[in-house]
Amino acid sequence: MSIGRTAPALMLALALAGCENEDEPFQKAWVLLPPVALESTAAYVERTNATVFLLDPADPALRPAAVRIGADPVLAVRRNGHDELLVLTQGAPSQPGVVPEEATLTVVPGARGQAGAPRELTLPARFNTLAQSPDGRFVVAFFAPGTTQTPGAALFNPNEIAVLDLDAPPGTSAVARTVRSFGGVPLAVAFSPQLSLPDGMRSLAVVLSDNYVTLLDLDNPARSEITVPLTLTTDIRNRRPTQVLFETSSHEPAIYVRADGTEDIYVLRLTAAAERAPGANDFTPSLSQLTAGVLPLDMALVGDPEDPRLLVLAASGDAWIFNARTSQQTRVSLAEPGVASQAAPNRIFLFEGQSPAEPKARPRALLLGENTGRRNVTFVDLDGIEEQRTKNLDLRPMGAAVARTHFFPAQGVALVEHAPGSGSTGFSVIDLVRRTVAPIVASIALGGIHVGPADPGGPARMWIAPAAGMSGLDTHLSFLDLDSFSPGDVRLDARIGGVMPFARDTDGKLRVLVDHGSATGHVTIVDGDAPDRATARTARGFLLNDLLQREVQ
Amino acid sequence: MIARTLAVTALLLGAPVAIANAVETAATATAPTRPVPFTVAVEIQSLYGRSSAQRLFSGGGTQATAGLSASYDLVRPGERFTVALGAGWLYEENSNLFGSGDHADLETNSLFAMATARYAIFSWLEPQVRLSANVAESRARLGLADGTTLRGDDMSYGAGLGGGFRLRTNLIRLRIGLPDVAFSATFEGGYAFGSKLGLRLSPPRPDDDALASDRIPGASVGLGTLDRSRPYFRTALAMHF
Repeated sequence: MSIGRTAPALMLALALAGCENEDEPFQKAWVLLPPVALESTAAYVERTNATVFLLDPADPALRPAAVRIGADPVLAVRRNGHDELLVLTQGAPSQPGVVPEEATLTVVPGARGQAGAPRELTLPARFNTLAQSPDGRFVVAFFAPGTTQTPGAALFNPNEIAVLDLDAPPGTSAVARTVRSFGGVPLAVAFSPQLSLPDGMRSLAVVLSDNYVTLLDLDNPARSEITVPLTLTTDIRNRRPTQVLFETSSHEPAIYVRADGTEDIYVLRLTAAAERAPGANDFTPSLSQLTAGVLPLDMALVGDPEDPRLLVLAASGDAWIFNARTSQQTRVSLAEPGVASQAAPNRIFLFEGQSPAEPKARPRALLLGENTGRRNVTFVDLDGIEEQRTKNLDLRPMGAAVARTHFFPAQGVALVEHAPGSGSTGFSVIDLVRRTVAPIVASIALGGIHVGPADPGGPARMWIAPAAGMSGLDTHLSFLDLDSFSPGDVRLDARIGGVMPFARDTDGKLRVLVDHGSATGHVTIVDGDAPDRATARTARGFLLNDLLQREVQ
Repeated sequence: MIARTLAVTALLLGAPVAIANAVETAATATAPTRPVPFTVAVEIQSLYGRSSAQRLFSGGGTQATAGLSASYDLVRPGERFTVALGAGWLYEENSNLFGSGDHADLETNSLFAMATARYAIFSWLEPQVRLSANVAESRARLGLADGTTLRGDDMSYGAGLGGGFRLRTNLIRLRIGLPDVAFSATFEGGYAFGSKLGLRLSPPRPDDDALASDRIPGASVGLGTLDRSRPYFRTALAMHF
C-alpha cells in the first residue's frame, strides 16, 4: 500500500468530518429601543434577544441586571405613577422551526434588586402601540395609525383593541374589543380621571378616530362602547379629534373634544341613562357644541372643578372663556396694543403661582405661539378674567419666535426654543413668577432638554443635549442653573444621544445618566450637584456584561 | 472559517507527503531498523467548541490552532511498543462578527507537554494514545461598532486525552550528508479539558499620556466565563531522526 496515494484522501475525509452547517448564535443585528428612565434605573430593551437591561447609575460596576421577556418587543415606556417598565411584545408568528409565541404586555419592576420578576399579560393580537391612564392602572393596546400588516398574519383588524387593568388580580386576562368603526381607525386614546357617573366613580377611555370618538367604561370593559359621531353622516369634511379634556364635576361630568377642521368644541356631557338594559352603560353622552366662530387652537379647563370654565385660544388672536353649563362666553383680545397684525398664541400652559404684583399663589396661564412667528409671551391671571378681561393680561416681549416649549411648572420655569432664523439662536428661559424672559444664546442646535425630579434641597438645573449631527460640540452636555440662569457644560468622551436626570438617591447623590446611543450600551454618569468631567465615570459596552452566559442570537 | 481551515489543512497535509515521495525517488529507502527517537512536528488542531459562548469568537463552532512540537521516544519496551515524551507550543486565533457590526477576537498561546504511547502494527501504521497538559494565555478583544475597543486577558490550564494513529515512512537516506530521517502524519481525535477563562474587558489605555490622563474613568465589562473544554481533531506532520 502506498502512503503517498492513500494519505491525502484519508486526510480530506477526516477534515470534512468536521464540517457543519447550522444556524449560529451572535449572527443577528442587535436593535435597542430608546432607553427609558425609571425611578432609580435606566431600562434598555434589546429587540433581537428580547432582553430588558436595568442599569443602576449608582452601581459602581455599572453592571445591568438582565431580564428575558417575550419575543419581539416593539415598544417600551414607563408605567405612569409606578417604578415599572411596560414592554409591548409582538411574539413570534408560526414559522418553520419556530415555536409560535403570543404577543404580551410585560411589566418589569424597575427598582434595583427586584429585576427578574416580570409579569406577562397575554394580548389577543400583535399590537404595536399602547396608551395608559395617568395613574398607570389601565392600558389600551391597539394598532398605530398607518399599520398595514402584523407579523405572520394574513389579516388583521385595525379596530381591534385590548383593555388591561394592571391592578387586577393575577390571572386576569386582557379584554379584547373591536371598536365600532365608521371607516376610521383608532388614532389615539385619552383616559379620564375618576368621573362621578351614576353607578359610582369610574374612569373612561376615549378612543379618537376621524369623525367620531368612542367611550369605553374601563371598570366594566364588557359593556358596549358608546360611539359619538362628530359630523353628520352626509358631511364629507374630515374632523380629526386632537385634544380631549375632562370635566370632573360631581354632577354630570363632561368631555371636551377639540378637532382639526372645525370651529366647534364638542361637549359630551355624561348624564344618567334614561332607559337601561341589564349590563348596559349607566350613562349616556349628550352632545353639544361651543363655537367661537374661528378655529380653536388650544383649550384648557380653568377654575373650580365643580363649575369649570373652558379657556380657548382662537385663530383670531382672542381668548374665549366658556361656561359650558350656562353657555355664557367672554372674549378677551390678546392683541398687543398698537400692533395691527400679529400671530395668535396657540399654546396654553396652566400653573399656580405668584406674580410680580401679587404674593399669593393663584391660578394663572402662560400663552405662547409656537411656530407662528409671535414674539411675545402673555401671562393671564385667571381669577376674575371674565370681569377684568385685558386687565388680567400681562404681555412680555421676547427676542425671537418660539419653535417649541418645555414647561416645568414645578421648577417655576418654561424654556422656549427659538426657531432658526427667527432673530436669535438658542432659547429663552421664562421665569413664571418674576415674569422675566432671559435669552440664552446657543452655538449649537438643541436636542433633548431635561429637568430632573423636583429636588428641594438641591440645585434646580436643566440639562441640554446637542442635536444629532452637531460636529465639534456634540460631546458637550450643557446645563443651566434655573436659579441664576448661569450656563455650563461638561465635555464627555462620545456623542450624546440622551440624558436622564435621576432623583436624589438614598446615598445623597444626584446623578445624571448620559446615553451615547450605542447598540452595545455606552453611558456616562455625571454628578448632578457638581457636574464635572473629573468626577464623571463611564461604561462602554455595558450590555455585553455576562454575554458569554446568555443565549444570544 | 471552516473552508479556510480545510484548505490550509489539505495544503499542509499534502505537502510533506509529496516531499517525502520526491525524496524517496531521489534517495535510497532503508528499512526502519535503526531507531529515530527525535521528532519535530507541525501541529494542527481543529477544536469543536459548540457552546454559545465559544461561538462568540469562532462563529461556526470550529476553532483552529497551529503550532510546533518536539518529542523524544523515551522507552521502547519491545520492537513494536514506544512511549514518547514531548512539549510544544500552540497558537489559536478566532474572530467573528456579531451584533450590529461588532467584532470579537480571541488569541490564545499555549504551552503543552505530552506523553504518547504507540504500538506499531506495521512499519508504517502505529495506533497511539496521547495524554497532554497545557497552560494557556488568552487575549480577548472586542471592536464595537461605535468605535470602542475593549481588551482583556486571562490564564487557563488544561489537559487532553486522545487516540489515533500515525502513518510513517521508511527511513530515508538523504544525499546531502544529513542523518537518515523518516516522515509521518499523525491523526488523532480526543477531548481537551480546560479551566474556564474569566474575561473582563476594558478600553485600552491610550498611548498618549495626555489623552490617557484626560480620559473619563470607565467600568470594565465582565464578559463572563468561556469554557475551553471541547473535542478536538489533531493532525501532526513530523520528521523523525
